[in-house]
Amino acid sequence: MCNLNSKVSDVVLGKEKPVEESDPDYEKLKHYIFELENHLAEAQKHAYRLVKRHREKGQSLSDFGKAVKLLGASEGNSLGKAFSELGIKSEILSAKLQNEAHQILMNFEEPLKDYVRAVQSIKATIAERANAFRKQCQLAETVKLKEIELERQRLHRSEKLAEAEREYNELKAESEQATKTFESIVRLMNEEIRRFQEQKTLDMGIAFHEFAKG
Amino acid sequence: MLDGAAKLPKQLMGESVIGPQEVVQPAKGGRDFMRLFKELRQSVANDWGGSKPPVVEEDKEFLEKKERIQELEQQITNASTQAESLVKAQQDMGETMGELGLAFIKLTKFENEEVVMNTQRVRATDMKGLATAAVKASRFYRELNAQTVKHLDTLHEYLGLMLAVHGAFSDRSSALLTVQTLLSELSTLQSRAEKLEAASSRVFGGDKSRMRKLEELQDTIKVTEDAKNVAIREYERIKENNKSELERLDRERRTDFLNMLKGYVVNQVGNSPVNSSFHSNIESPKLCHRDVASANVHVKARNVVAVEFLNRALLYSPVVFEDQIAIVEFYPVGIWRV
Repeated sequence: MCNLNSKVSDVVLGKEKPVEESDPDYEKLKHYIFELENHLAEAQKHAYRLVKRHREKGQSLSDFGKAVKLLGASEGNSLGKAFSELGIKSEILSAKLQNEAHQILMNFEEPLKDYVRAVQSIKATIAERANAFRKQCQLAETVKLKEIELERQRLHRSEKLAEAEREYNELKAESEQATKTFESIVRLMNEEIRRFQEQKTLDMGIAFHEFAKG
Repeated sequence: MLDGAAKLPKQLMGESVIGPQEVVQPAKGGRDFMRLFKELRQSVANDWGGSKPPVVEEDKEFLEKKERIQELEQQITNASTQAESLVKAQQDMGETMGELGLAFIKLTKFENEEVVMNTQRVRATDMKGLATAAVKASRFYRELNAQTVKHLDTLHEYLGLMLAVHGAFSDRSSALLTVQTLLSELSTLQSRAEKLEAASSRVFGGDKSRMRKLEELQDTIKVTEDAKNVAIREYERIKENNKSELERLDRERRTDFLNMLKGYVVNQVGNSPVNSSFHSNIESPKLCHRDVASANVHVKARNVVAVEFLNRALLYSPVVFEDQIAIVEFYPVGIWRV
């Protein structure tokens, strides 16, 4: 929860400190998510490069096959036939490599990309949660200040008391709403993380297996 | 260079004669400028003159072989270039596989360090398997590539040999040109001698200076005749040498290329990461034995390509593939098999 005493004195003194949650578990989670994104992005980059390498090898095998077939035609005899066979098989393997490239793209690189997107979605939720927390803290401060103001007006039986009470009630409702919003984001986030962990473990397990199968 | 420059004034002033002992060396690269000039003149006459030179390359077999060699050289050049590209592509594949493995090693380490939930441990285990396999595959690719370079280098070697073939053809052309030059020169000298004889016979009692000139001319004709005979012998020697060397080239090239093919294919099969004994340790809870069986069928289907190739190669070149080759996978595309 926000440390309101220090926050109030800071605001009064004109010091603006950034308002953040101070839960150590949540800090650990944030650090995990941010670092995970970096590692996953790196892995996904190499996965995509691997797709490209398969395509390139496929292309060079095809070109090699053609060249070797022409060489076989020049040589003639049994050597020529052997070259020709190598050329034909190289072209077949080239087609298989192109297909393999596509499989790696769809069954390995795409799931990795999804994984990255899921992590980025959690990062977005972290940002939303931070905003909601800040708003909640700011409103709580404002309510506190308003409460002090209201007390003062009650003591002086000010004619603006009714208006001040109304404003105070509005602010209080807003603050409670902000708290609810924040708590709902926290709840959704916890569910998202749990779902993320379970689903992604399964998805990546399948992706790795598909990659291995070829 | 200096000798040639010293000889030139005498050659320009007097009669220049190509001696028999000199014709065995080609004119090009030599020091006899006069000879170079004469052969150049003959060469221009061959190319641009209206009449056919006294002797031409008539060996049909040689001409066909020459054309075939030129065509072969083109194809070897092309194959050599594509082989280089293939080697590069294999190298890149290996490097990327290694980088992928490294990225997953880092990811595994990270998940293990930051572990909070059991799912992270499961993922870390899966990733570790993939990372290890990828790094191993990368090493296999490196070894595969080193061997591929060794085998396909034969193409580059024969490309280099083509230079020697061109040298031999060039020697033959030079020797022929020398023969043509000497024959033309002999013909010229003989017709001059005839003219001098005819002019002398008209003068009663003879003309002493003309007689002397005729004698000198006849000496020159004799020397040129000897040089011509030596040049012809040298030309025939080169022709014979060309023939035997071309036959040897054909023989050795056939053997070397067959060995190259054998080595290349055996290497591609033998260095497949699949042939290693490491297995997948990734267990996916969703996959059952049915999927594993279908994965094995998939493997077998790919093997058919490799087996078919080798069977056909055995059919065509029984001398090449002496050993039975156990094939698991032709190309190291997949990392491991269940």
